Amino acid sequence: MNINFKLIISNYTDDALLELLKDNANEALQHIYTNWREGFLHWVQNGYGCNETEAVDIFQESVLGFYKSFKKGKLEDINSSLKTYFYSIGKYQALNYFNKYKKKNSIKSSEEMAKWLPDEEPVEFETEEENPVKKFLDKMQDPCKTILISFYYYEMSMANIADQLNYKSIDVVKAQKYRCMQRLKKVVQKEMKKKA
Amino acid sequence: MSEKKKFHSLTKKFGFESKSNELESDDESKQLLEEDANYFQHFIGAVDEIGDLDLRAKMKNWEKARSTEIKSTLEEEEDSFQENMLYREIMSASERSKAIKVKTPKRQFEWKNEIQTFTFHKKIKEVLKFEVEDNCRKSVATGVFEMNEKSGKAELPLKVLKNGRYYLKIFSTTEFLLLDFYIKNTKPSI
Repeated sequence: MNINFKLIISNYTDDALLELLKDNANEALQHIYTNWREGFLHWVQNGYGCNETEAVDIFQESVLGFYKSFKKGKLEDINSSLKTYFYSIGKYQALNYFNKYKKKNSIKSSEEMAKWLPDEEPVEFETEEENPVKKFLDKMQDPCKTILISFYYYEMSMANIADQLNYKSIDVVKAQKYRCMQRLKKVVQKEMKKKA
Repeated sequence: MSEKKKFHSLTKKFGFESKSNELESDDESKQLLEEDANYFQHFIGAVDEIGDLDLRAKMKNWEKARSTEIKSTLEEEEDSFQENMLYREIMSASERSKAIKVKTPKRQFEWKNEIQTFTFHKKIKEVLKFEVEDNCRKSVATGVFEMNEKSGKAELPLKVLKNGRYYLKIFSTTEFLLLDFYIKNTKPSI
């Protein structure tokens, strides 16, 4: 019988949060969402004059940007706290958001905002590319899609995936993952042949 | 460049190194990717895009859950202020009590401080006990009045009681009185 004891922590240190991101990204992201949301919304609404809905959008884009930074290993080398880095992403996202919707005269003095900024480069956001695999991966039924996204995107361990999906063992997950990978490749190659 | 070398350089380029031990040990899946670097590049690009969509969907759910939680906390609090209809009947009957007649506070008062003072029309010679129930008739506190001729003090642990309507039962050996009051000290936790 697998018994999981979940320790409920309201505030992680930066090191602990990084460890949690490596071990269970889903839980770490949910923790960030729950615990950083209020402060961030307050900050972005005050600083950028946006309403709550816009602030939530910016927050969610910032969480995504933060996770991308983590996957690229950028969080290991920052000089500021994780939260400060998160806010620097938030600033970038807010400016992006308002440039997009052409909102002017809503940004307060940069002096107040500057205290949140570390001496870091803003996160680079990749441009979208055409992708033949994307269409079929998106259409995949569970458990394939969940297994592949959990492993390759959230970088969950096989043990965690087995737990999440109630599989009996890691070997069962591995075997299922391989079948899913085979199926996906077969479908993509078939499609590519048709187009060629 | 061999496919294997291309695979490793792409692995590095796209930061696909986490869980590398598991990636390395998962020989069959790894082979599927290694065979074709072009496919691998598209695969990890697809995983990134679909993964981003998945995370966005998760965040929307967390946001929804948050709103539901707030709504149900407020609804719960609204319920706790509802009148108990049985006790409404009993209150009318108990007002005819001759021995225990409360002068102040009046019915539906707000119990603001832990110690509440009551004044009575008559001098109370007996020991007066009390019991407090919530609007679902669940007992939450009991005690004894600290009497001084025509007034008495009762103490409630307000910090542990939720906002809502409560019923105060006052007992002597022969008489009984029922009053209702409110606690409005704390806001619902959001």
